[in-house]
This record gives sequence, C-alpha cells and structure tokens, in this order.
Amino acid sequence: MASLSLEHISKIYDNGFKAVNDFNLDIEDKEFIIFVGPSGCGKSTTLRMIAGLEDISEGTLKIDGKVMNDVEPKDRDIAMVFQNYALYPHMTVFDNMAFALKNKKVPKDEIDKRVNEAAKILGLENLLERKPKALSGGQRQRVAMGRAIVRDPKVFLMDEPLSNLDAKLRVQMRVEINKLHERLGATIIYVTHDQTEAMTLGTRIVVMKEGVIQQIDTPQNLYNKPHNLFVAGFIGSPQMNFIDVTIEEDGEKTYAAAGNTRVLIPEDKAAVLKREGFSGKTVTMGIRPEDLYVEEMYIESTPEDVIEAEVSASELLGAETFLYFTFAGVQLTARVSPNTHVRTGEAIKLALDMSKSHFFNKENELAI
Amino acid sequence: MAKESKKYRSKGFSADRKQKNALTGFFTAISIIYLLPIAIVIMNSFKANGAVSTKTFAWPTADTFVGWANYIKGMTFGNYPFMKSVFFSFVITVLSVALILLCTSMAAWYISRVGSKLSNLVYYLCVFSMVVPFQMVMYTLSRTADRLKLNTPWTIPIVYLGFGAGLAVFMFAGFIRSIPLEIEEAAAIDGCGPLGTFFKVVLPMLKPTLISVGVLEIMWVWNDYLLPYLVLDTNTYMTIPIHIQYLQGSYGHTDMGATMALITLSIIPVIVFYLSCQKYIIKGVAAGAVKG
Repeated sequence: MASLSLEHISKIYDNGFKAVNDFNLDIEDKEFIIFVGPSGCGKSTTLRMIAGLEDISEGTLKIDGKVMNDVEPKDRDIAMVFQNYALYPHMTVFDNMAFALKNKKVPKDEIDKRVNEAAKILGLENLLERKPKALSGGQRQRVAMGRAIVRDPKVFLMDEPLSNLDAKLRVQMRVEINKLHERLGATIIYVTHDQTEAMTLGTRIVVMKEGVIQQIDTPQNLYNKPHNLFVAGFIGSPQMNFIDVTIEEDGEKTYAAAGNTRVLIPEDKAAVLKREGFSGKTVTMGIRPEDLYVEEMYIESTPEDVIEAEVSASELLGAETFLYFTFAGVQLTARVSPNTHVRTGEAIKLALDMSKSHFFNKENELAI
Repeated sequence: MAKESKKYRSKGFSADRKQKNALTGFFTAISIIYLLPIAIVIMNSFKANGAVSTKTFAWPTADTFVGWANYIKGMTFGNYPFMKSVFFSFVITVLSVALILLCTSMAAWYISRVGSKLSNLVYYLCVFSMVVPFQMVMYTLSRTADRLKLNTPWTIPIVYLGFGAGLAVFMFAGFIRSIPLEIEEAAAIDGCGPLGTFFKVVLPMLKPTLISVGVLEIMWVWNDYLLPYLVLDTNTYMTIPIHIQYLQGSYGHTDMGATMALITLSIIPVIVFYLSCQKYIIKGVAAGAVKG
C-alpha cells in the first residue's frame, strides 16, 4: 500500500477547456478518499489522470514519492474498477481475475491461489467458470472488484462502481466495500456523485466543482463546517436551507432579519460576524432541515428564534416527514418527526436551532 | 361472453395462420427460384455434352446420363492439371482473407479509437473505395501489379487486401465503436501494451465480425475471375474460375458438361463453409449495425 501526492495538477484539453484546475492533495497510506461533486466537475478526470488513462497537463503526480506523470498505466501498480465494470466478455470469471497476473508472468499456482482467495472474499467461488454475460449486475460488480483485489496494488481507483446497481444492492455493496477497505488496509480513491456513499465510505472527502477543489475534509467536518455555500448545499439531503438575512444589532444582541421576522444569533457567531464587519450588511444564512423544530417545547424555550410560515407541502417518508414552506420569498424544508400532523396551507411556527446556523459572505460565498 | 371471446380469438388465430401460410408459400417459391440455377448446374453436370445445350431443363435419361464422365473429363482436360488450379485458388483465398482480416481489423481499431481528422479521412476513403467499380481501375491496376511483381499467387493477396479493405474496415469499425472503451482501458491497467490489448482483448471480442467478414471475403476471392485473370501470368498460375474458362476451346467449342462438373466442384467448398458459419454471419452483420 502506498501514499499519493498530487501537486498542482491541471487538465487542459486541446480546445482550451480546463477540466481540472490546480488540484493539490496528499493521500496517506490506507486512506479512503472520496472525490465527490456534480457531473462534469472533473472528479473522474482526476481519477483517470492518477490511473494514467489521461495525460496530466500540468503538475506532478507521485506515488510513494516517485513521479508517475509519464509512467504507463500498467507500471503504476494501480487497479481500477470502472462504472460499467469493463469485464472481458470472452473470458471466464477466473480468467478475468487472472488476466493481470498472467500478463505479469506470475507462476500458475500463485495465480490460482490469489484468484481463489479473492473469490472467497467476494463469494464468487461457484461462478469462476462462468462468462460475464451469465452473471447478474451485482456479481459482475464483484468480479470487477476481484480483478482489482488479486493484483494487490498500491492504490485502488474506483470510478462510480455502484452507480449501475439497484438501490438495495448498492447499500449492500457499500457495506462490502467498507469491510474490504478494513480487511485489505488498502489506499482507495473513490469517485461518486452520491453523497451518501461519500459520507459513509470516506475517511476524507474531496468536494469538487468545475475542476476546482472546494473543500477537503472528514465527512463530519464537511457536514458541520462547510467552507463555502457550494459545499454546504451539496452535502446533506434534503439540502441546507439558505435565506438572505440582514445582520442587525440591537443593544447587546445581534439579530438576523428577513422580512418582518428576526431571529437571535448566538453570541459566539455574532462576535465573528461583528469582527468581520458584517453588521448592517446582508449575508446568506444556512440552516439544515433537521435544525428546524415544530415541537411546542422548542418554540417555547427559544422564543427569539421562531419564524412563522405557511406549509406548501408535506411528505411522509415513514421515519420522518419533510415540510416544505415559503419564508421571506424562499422555499425552505424542515425535517420533522413523522408524528407531526400539519395540513397543507396551514400557518405554523418553527424554532430554528441557531447554534447550528451557518453564515456565508454573499460576495465570495465563503463561510464567515 | 366467454364463448364470444373464444370465438373471436379463434378467428384471429386462423387469420394469423392464413397469413403465415401465405408467407411460407411465398418464401418457399423465392427459395426455389434462388436454388434452381444451382440445381440445374448440378443436374447438367451428369448429362452428356450435347444434351446440356439441347435439353437443358430435362432430367437426365438413360440416353443422356453419363455418370462421373464429365467430372473426369473436366479434371483431366488440357495440359494444366486441375488440382494445381485448386491449389492456387486455395492459396490465394486463404492468404488474402487472412491478410484482410488481420490488417483491416487493426486498421478499423485504430481508426475508431484515435478519432483524429486524418483517421476519419482514412475511414471515409475506405468506405468510398466500396463504390469504385473494379472495371474502372483494372487496366492501371494490372500494369501496376506487374511492375511491383504482385503477379504471383503469393503476392496477389496484397491486391486483394486493397480491394477487400473497404467493406472489411466498414464492418469492423461499426462493431468496434459499440465496444465500451473502458474494456481496453482495463486491459491497459492490467498490463497490456497496444499490441497485447489488440490481440488478447479486442480481437477475441471481434469474433462474430471476423467470421462474417471472413465468409464474405472468402466467397468473393474464391469465385473471383477477373482480377487473377488480369494480374496473374495465366500460363503458370491458374485459379479454378480461369481453369473453367479454359475449357472453352478454340473456335468457340465448349465442353458444357465438363464445365458444369467443374462449376459444381468449385462451389461445394464455399457452400459447406457458408453453411457451417451461417449462424455467426447473421450475428456479425447485425452486431455492427446498431449500438449494443
């Protein structure tokens, strides 16, 4: 296993399009790194540059301290799992898994041993003689994993490996991959646009947008301390609520005002806003759906953090209910208990847990 | 109610069957029309020379039936051994088709994967070459082939490669474009260079197209008369079609019985080959047509 370092990596296509811009990342041994972002954000391109399937236009890629920019994919000691699995259709499962080892001229009994070992880990023992076309989607996915495992590579690269599976199988395989990471102690770089996969699998997550890294952090920090508006909106489902508010000072207290309503900002957050000179200015306030409460208890205990709004829709999902309502001209969402009975069109009171609120500069969209 | 629906259904079923029967009859008739010439050739190959031209469509009778005589005569006629022609036909066909399959599959792979302006141009040139009639280039070609010493059975496959490339590149490229690129990328990561990727991964996947292109080219090269006639030195090298032509003696005298016998002999290998590969042909022709 190995460490990776990506220094000022850029990908510029012939037509001048910059798919990846100044990508810097140090990956330590045994880390599970997730690249996440919307379609076209350059996450797959970055992965393909690490694999050697795309040329690196600028910057340096090092694996275990060795510069890899001009090294052929086969000599980088990496393994890759593709979104569509890319199994060799004319070979059996065994041959698919043994292919790389045969190319490396590994002795036959060693190949047998390693393939059988990997097949055992993945539960493929009975399928070794089958061709890929005789396998289900989940089985093909596992063969693709197996093909990577038998190589015992320095780095595993996975390009949306679960996105072709149905929802149930995806959850199952997600757990399997997590186990696999622990069992193999492997360095894994994993590309996905599914934030649930990102949050559950990654030791660190790299959030990208338009080729630029937005934030590199642990799942917890990404969720609780997003660096900017994009990360705050991208991580979390349903996404964070954003309201434009004006920071108003009233004696000792600081309020966030929108329309006729104002809510009290906790002292520590207020101090930062004041220090940075946002008093009297408009900023974007973010608050996650689960930090809005409809229960009487919360409303009574924090009477200064209450807003009133009319419910435009409610969705019962079994374990929770989403309430949609419009406040100060924007659509907001609250995640509340399924026992809450609210009718569409009804005006309700909601308490905001302002200790969990976020404030963003409207100009550069960075967190304050 | 139930009775009514049953009635309705049986009516629909019988209409369906009628239509099926009509179609079966129609296609049987077409098949017979297609097969008739071959049947007539085989039938006439057992008739005496005179009867071939006078009673072409009649069954052999006790008077006209000559057994294997036409075959023996055809194979021993003249001073050029028939088996030698068979040998050269075989050599030319095998070498040409092997060369076409190897070179055009590689070329099509390159053209499909590189996607540069130049490779696109090459592709369209190949496609365009399919519409150029042989008669348009045959005189200049036979001169060029002579100059370049391509006038032996061992070198004429290069000329065939040029003529066969259009269709073959077109068919291969169509199929290769339907193969996901990731499979080749996986091969690159698994330790294959370009050659390894082609021979270990791409070529085996091309099998259905290889067979269908192979069959088409074999039928064409095996039966081709004009190109070897113009290019080869026919005193030294004859192919089966040329040999059959030589049964036509001087002063326009032709031994029709022997000719029919040799034609029968020459079509047997192709028919056997075609029938044994038929299921792959249909698969291959459809394979490149649409994106899988």
